[in-house]
Parts: sequence; structure tokens; C-alpha cells
Amino acid sequence: MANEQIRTENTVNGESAQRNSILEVKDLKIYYPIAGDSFFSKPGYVKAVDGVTFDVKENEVLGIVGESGCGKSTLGRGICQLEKITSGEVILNNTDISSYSRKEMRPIRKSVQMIFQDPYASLNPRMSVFDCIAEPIRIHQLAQSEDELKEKVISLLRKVGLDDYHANRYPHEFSGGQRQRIGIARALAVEPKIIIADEPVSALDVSIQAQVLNLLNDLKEELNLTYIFIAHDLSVVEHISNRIAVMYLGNFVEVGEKGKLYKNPLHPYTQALLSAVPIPDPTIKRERIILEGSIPSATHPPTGCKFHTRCPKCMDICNKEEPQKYEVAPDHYVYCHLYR
Amino acid sequence: MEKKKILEIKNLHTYFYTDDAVIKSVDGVDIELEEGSTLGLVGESGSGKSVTALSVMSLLMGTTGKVAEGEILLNGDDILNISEEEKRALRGGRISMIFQEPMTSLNPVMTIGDQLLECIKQHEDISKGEAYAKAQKMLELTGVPRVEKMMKEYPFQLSGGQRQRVMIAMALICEPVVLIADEPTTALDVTIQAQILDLMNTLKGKIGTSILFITHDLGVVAEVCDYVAVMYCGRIVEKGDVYSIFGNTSHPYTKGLLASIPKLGQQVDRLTVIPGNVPNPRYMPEGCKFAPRCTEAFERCFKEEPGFYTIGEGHVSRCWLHAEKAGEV
Repeated sequence: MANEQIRTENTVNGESAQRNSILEVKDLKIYYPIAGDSFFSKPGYVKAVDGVTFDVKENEVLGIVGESGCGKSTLGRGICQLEKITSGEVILNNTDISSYSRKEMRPIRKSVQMIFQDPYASLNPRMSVFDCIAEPIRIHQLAQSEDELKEKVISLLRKVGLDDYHANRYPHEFSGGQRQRIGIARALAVEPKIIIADEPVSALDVSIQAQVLNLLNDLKEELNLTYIFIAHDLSVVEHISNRIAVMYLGNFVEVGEKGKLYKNPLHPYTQALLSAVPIPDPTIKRERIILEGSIPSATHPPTGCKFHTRCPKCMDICNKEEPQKYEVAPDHYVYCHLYR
Repeated sequence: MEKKKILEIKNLHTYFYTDDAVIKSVDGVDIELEEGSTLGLVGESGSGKSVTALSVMSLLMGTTGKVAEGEILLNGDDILNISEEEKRALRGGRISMIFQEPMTSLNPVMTIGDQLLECIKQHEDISKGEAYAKAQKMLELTGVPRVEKMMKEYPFQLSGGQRQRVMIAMALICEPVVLIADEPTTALDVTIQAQILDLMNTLKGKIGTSILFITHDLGVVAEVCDYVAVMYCGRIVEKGDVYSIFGNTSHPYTKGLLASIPKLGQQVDRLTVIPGNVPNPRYMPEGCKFAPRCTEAFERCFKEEPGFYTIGEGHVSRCWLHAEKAGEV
């Protein structure tokens, strides 16, 4: 790759900041300490997120894909401080919130909300739907009176495609898709700017999944929302996102505008991932890249490029040096020595 | 030439008896599995696909479920009305099953080797040494690393993909004629799923097993199956060979399913959806069970349940829309 094409990370970040980034994450690391094998050995760390840098622009959907254990959920939770950040910066509207205390975080939570994967586990079974949705409004004192509160809850229910009478029911009376709608209504209750959706449709049947995806899309347009959409299903992520980041063992390996990334995947991991997605058309026969083995442990990640142990195009340098970020095309970055 | 039918399920009805109702989980299912082929049984949760599998395996004891009507034939022999002892000899021997969750379906306090040996001991009269060698060889076939060490390890020491390989080794160790795979790759990541599907295909050829593949993922079906049967509310709504089902999709439910999945590389603004939810099995609608969610439903659909209509060779669909164009089966 020609040298002129490679820009340093600073200029890239500087440029994107001008196109009004709503959220910037710089070199974010989230490590979990673990005890060593014996009493005398040094304590180790699970490096769940190991230096991730990206930014999200207003009204954009950034999809984060990766296999289980790659750190995508930890990253999502880290952004809204549901996990303790080891180092790095999270800049929301030009303010670094990474070292905020719980008390300082409280007003921030109004602008960043989460939707969780499991619609069965993320709703309190003892709270009626009304209370579930009203709770955040009460906490943030967004309603002046009980009447206003009621009005707000009802309008949220309608917005997510539920009926007024659902307010008095309890979560167990709903199907998975309806529960996910309740979870979405709850997230919308505080009128957030950013929604971090962690596998919001993976527990749902395909016909219901489509309903929820359409709903998320409509709400994004209507309320001018920004999403960070975390999922393992590449077709779902492609459908909903503008830009996609592929994650492997705590690092991004490739980031790009979705059309570019899917048409021309550059990183060998992205290539393998895409080729492994089953296509619902028996007439299409593809050459599948089958990766050897499974994702290594995050306690002892491989040296150099973390993917080199499974990479079909591994070179000498790969186990020694960690690859830099290379801009291969405008808005298409890859972390791989092949593109030096 | 007509191929030999290895497994035939005829008019199967499996009901669950609760205190106040009878839940008809499987309500008249007919499927034939041809020798050496893979049949995909597709449907959403609650459609009765797993219950169909459990009925074939006679694994409904301990539940309130019972096969109320119907026949299940393995190689022409009835396997429904035989003694419990005969059924035990059958399970894991001529017919075996892989379950969805490799985490929960292995015994956590037994080593991998012992679990494999248990299966051989049950079905074959060979010495312990021979059995051990056989278990090791089977495990090698599934492509797991460091086989010798793994024989002495416990399930928690393995990754999800490795556990599923052990499950496959266990299911295939007595060289069954029919393998039932119930969502074998749903809990796995795509790259691991690709490995496992590849492995199942290779072993199918080597051992000559026919596979009943239960899944909700139409992508997986298109990749591995020869024939497809689509289930909805305890019934088959459409079945045929894989090219015909995907190329000439006929039932509105199958069409809806296919339209509602986002497809890689095909950008659409909105996904087509099937409105509503799967009906509560206690309050099944009259007539066609799909009618309340069907965009093409008309008066007759709400009153009478349709039978099968022939769409093409070996391709049938259960919908009144075909009544004028095709002849009833």
C-alpha cells in the first residue's frame, strides 16, 4: 500500500471530530483482574477490551460484530460505565466521562441508554409494564405530575407498537418480541441521544426479529437517535448499520462503511467471517474459508497480531508486531500487516 | 429410481396433557427421510419441531406428553409400539440425536472418554480396550485437537465448538442409520458453525447416516439440506426438495419467513414482516392456523383447514390459494 494513503490516527480522529461526532472512544481498555494459577504467581488480567478507538456521528448506526468472547458486549457496557474502565477516554459531546463517579454519571445516563439481549431477564417480573417504563422518568424527574407521567408512558407504548391496556400487565404475560418492545420503550423514556443495543434481536424468532429491526429503524429516523448496535449476526448488522466495526479478542480488526466492508472485506478474519454466513439460497455455492480452532483465551492473548494463530495468511511479522491502523480507502480502515 | 425411505413419520400427533387443557404440539405430521439424504425441519419456536424429534426418539417420558396417534417407521419397522427395552437398544444405536446445547447435554461429572465408552458398552459387545480405541478413533474423526488428553478431560474444560464435536462423536459412534440433529449449531458462532456443518457433511458421507436436521435458520437449511419441511403450529405447511422450496416458494408462511431475514449484500430499507405472533396453542384458530397472520387470507381460510396441494414434483403446500391451480393430494 502506498505511504501517502496511510494517515496517522491523529489526523483521522481530528477530521471526524469536525463532522460532529456525538461520541468518541479513545484507546479504551477494560481489564478484569484474575487470580494467578498458584498463590505465588502474579495475578493476571482478562483483557476483554484492549485499546479500542472509534467515534460515532450523530444519527449514525455503528454496528459492532464479533464472535462470543471478543469483548463487544464489554465495550458497549464500558461506554455507559456499566463496567469499570481500566484506561482510555470516552468523550460524549466533547466531555470526557471516563472518570466520572456514579453520581456524576446519573445525568449522563439520560443521554445514553441501553437495550439488552435477553428480553426475559432484563425486565423486573414484579413490576407492571407501566412501572417499568415510568421508573426512569421518575428517577430523572422528567414529568411534573402523575397525569403527565401517565401520558408519557402511554405515548411510549404506542410508539413501540403496544396498546394502552398493556400498561397494567406484567412481563410474563408477553411474548419475547413484545418484551423487547417494552425494553425499547423503557430506554426511550428519558429521551436519550444514543442507544447502545446489545444483541437486541438475537433471542427472537426470525419473523419477530424483522418486526423489531423495522421498529428500531423507524424510531431512529423519528427521534434522530444514534445507535451502537452490537450483534454476532452479520446479516442483521449489515441491514441496520451505516458503519461496521469487526472485533476480535478485544481489538477492532476492520472498520468501514458497510458497503465497502461487505463488498471488499480486507482483513482475513472479516473475510472468513463473511464466508461463514449461510446464505438462504441453495443455488449459490461459495468457497468457504474455514478457520482452524477457536478464539484464544483473553487471559493469554497471542503476541503480535492476535489473529495470527488462526490466520490463513499469517506472515513472519504477524506474531511479533501488533499491526497499525491503515486507511485503505476513505472511511475504510484495517488493522493488518498485509496492508502495510 | 425411488430411493429407500429410511425413516417415515406418518400422521403423527403428539399431545401434552395439562390439568385444564390438551396442548396439541404436533398435530398430524408426515415426513419421509430418504436414505443418505438430509431433511431440514424448519420452523419458529413453538412450531413443534423439537417435539417431533423427541417423539421419534421416544424421549417424552417424564413429561405429560404422549404420542396420541400416528406411526413412526425405521426402515419399515414400527418403532413406536415396542417395549422400553427395545427402544433403549435403538436410541444411540440405530438412531441417535444431537442436542442444541452442548453445555447442558453432556454429563459434567464424567470424563469425555467415559461418556463415549458408556455409549459403546450399551450397544456393542466388545472388550474395554477395543471400546477405548474405538472411542478415540471416533473423536479423532471429529477433528478435535489432543485427543488422548481430551479423553480424560471434563466437559467444562472444552470450548463450545469442541463440546459439540464430542456430542457428534457420541451420536455417531455406533454408526446410526438415522441422526436427528436438533439445532446443532444455534448456540455456536458463525465460524464454528461453519466448521461443524462441514464436519457433519463429511461424516455423513463416511458413515452413511441419513440426517433429520432441525433448525430455524433458513441459511443453514440452504447449505446442508436436500429436502425441506416447513412447520407451523404443529403441522407441516410446505415440503419439497431444497431447490424447489427456495426457488418456487409457495406457502405464504414460507414466503414470509424468507422475506423477513436480512440477506447479506442485498440492501433493503425495510424488512418485510409477518404481522402478529404465533397463536397460543391453547387457543388455536379455526381453519388454517396461519390465516390470522396471512396477508393473502380470504374467507375460506378462516373456516376450513386446507389439505396439501401439489406444486411440483415432490413439492406440496398446504394452502387454499393453490386450490384452483393445482390438484389436491
